[in-house]
Amino acid sequence: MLKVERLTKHFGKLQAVRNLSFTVDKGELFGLVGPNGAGKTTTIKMIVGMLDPTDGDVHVNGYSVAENPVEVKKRIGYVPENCALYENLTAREYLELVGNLHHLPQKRITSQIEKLMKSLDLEDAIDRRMTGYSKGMKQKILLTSALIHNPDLIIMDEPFTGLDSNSAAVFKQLIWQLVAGGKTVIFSSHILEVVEKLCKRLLIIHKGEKLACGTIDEILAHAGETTLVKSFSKLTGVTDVEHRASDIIDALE
Amino acid sequence: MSQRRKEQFDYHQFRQLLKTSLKLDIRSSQGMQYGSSSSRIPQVFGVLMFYFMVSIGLSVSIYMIPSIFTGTLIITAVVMAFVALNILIEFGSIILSPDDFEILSPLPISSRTVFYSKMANLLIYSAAITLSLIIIPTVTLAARTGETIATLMFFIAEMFAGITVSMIIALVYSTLLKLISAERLSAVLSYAQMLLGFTVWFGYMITSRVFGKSVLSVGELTQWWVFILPPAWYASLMGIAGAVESGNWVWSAMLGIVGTVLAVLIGAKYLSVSYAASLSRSVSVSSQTKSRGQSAPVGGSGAWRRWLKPEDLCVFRLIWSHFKYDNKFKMTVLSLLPLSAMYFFLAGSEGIVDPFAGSFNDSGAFMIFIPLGILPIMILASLIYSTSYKASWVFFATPANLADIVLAGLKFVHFAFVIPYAIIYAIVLGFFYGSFVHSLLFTTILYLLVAILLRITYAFLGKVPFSIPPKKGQQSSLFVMMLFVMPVFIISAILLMFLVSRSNPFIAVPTIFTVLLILNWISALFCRRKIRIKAIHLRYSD
Repeated sequence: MLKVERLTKHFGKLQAVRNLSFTVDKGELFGLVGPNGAGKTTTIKMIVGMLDPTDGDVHVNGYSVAENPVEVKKRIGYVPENCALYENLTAREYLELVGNLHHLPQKRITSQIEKLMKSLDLEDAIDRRMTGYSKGMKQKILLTSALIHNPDLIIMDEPFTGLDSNSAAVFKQLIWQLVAGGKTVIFSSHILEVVEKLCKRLLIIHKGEKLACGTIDEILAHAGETTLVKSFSKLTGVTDVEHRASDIIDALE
Repeated sequence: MSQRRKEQFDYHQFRQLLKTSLKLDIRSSQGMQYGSSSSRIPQVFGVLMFYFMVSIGLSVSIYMIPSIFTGTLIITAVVMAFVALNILIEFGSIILSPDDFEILSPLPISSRTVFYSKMANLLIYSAAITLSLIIIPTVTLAARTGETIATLMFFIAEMFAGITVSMIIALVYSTLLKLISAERLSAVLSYAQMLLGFTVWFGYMITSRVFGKSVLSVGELTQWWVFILPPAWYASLMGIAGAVESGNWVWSAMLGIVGTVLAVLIGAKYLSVSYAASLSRSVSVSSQTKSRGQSAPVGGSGAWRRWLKPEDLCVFRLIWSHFKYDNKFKMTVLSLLPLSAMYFFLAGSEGIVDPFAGSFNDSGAFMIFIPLGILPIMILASLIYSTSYKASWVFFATPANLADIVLAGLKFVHFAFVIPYAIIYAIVLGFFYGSFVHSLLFTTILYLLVAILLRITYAFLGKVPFSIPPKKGQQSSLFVMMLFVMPVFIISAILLMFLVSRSNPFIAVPTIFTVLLILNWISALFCRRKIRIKAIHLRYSD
């Protein structure tokens, strides 16, 4: 389904992503994990065709992002980290725009919007401008816009940020059901507990480089630790967590 | 050839994008976002209304000027200058919109389709400006001549002129997007904007001065070189209606038609493909480069602390950081230097006279007063809007005094612009007057006058610095507001100059100083009070 080959991205002198390669199979739930600034979002933006890689390529269902970005984007549903929306539109207007840009028939757009909004408890807000929406409501709209064209590959960048626990539970269940229905889902997250619970395989990146890739068991074995949190700390070189916290308390005093 | 280069135009997507962008233009420019100043009337309509008022003046020209060709030529020049200025001022929200990139780039749309929709949006916007400028002159011309063809050609000529100038500006920017490396793109675009703005403004000033004094009595222009000027390319279309005496209209009109067709064709065929990719690089780079540099601690040295509040120091630091990293703001500030030099040059060429020596010259005074009268207000206006507006949460979430934060913007403009400008004035006027005492006295009068105007303007305009997202129509409406404030300053300054030159200076000067000092005190009280009341209603714009 997804093949990432030697993906590299430079911003001037900064190397955001270095020589990253991995594959994700059809129907797989794949996690992308890394500390802040590790290059997760940059990697995702290159996969969805928002950023041109400095080197390397991405293939989705055999289509190259560099060679055929429009075909790739037809097959991807993307939930961005920041709530980038035309907030002066109503939710219905925005979702109709996205549906139309995917060339969906108007009837299908209308019914999809109604169904998705109802299941996400947003039917009352559907005809209100999104300027007054909370972060969680915006996140739900982004999820709806990512699913409206029924894509094969769904990519979510920090999808649980800003969601209340009920919405997060719905999102988690939704991810499971999407995968059970044969969809491929990739998501990035800081929350290792969620990743551990949801994902079969995951990729840990740090400073733009691949540290480990495989099933949870393979990663635990690779790091020689018993939990994912400890493995993550060890692989990313942050082992003095308590000491750092004490330093902060000292600074406050 | 890669598939990316074969990206096709999709009419269905184009229609959806255009419909959405027009809807957003209307909605996003509706009033301020907070406080009592909230208005539901889109500011775009306010700008169009201003141009509609200008068109009343233009209709006088087309009615009074004996030659229809000359009248059309002057109106075309004004239309081109206004359309160009408006697009330059609003460019950030018309063409370069990182928001569009974030939202649209993951969707299956070709960059060509996005670019076409942007160009169509731009054409509709410039056509609306052109229409609001020429609607009354067109009716006036119809009433004057009673000829349908002449009226129709006038309308077509003006629409062509407006559309072409907007396309040319878009092409200049888009070419830069294609040619310049991503690392330098953002900065170069800002410098290009400053250069274009300066060229248009300078051209407008020179043209209005060439024709200004006797514009209503200018006869038919038949010199060949007149027809080389771009406004003449479009005014020459009046030749089809038999309204141009010189035979030069044929090749001149051809130049206009070819110019318009080329601008549209090149825009459509040549520049569209790499637009989105370049924009993507520019967005990525700008987000990386913003974190450059070392930050000095807020607070500064002990000497400053005695005179300034912590809020002042925070705002000064914020403005300085914006100057370093926000190209748009930097260019607004830097553009004041050539503009000031231009006005000083024009004033010097008219002759600057010493009012204390009993001399009075209103035309030179007009030019010399502009930099001090309008430029600090331009800075004040540019302090409000920023693409980094979300960062202003810090002022709303901390125990900072919001009124002091707002007032700090005024203090900054005062210390960083008004006082240095006053010093430059004292030196320049001293050179022309031949007496530095006279220049110091008159500069102090001007300084007191501008301080009053700034405070009154800021009392209504003042917001937390860089706390409002830039929207289409807002920059233009501020520009329009400045066009109203500037004459107040200039007329007051000329009146004071007249008083000084015509009365006994030993009576006039102390009287003027006393009155201005009292007005300064009142305006300071008014500004502080108004800002403190406004601060209660200020809300964070998320």
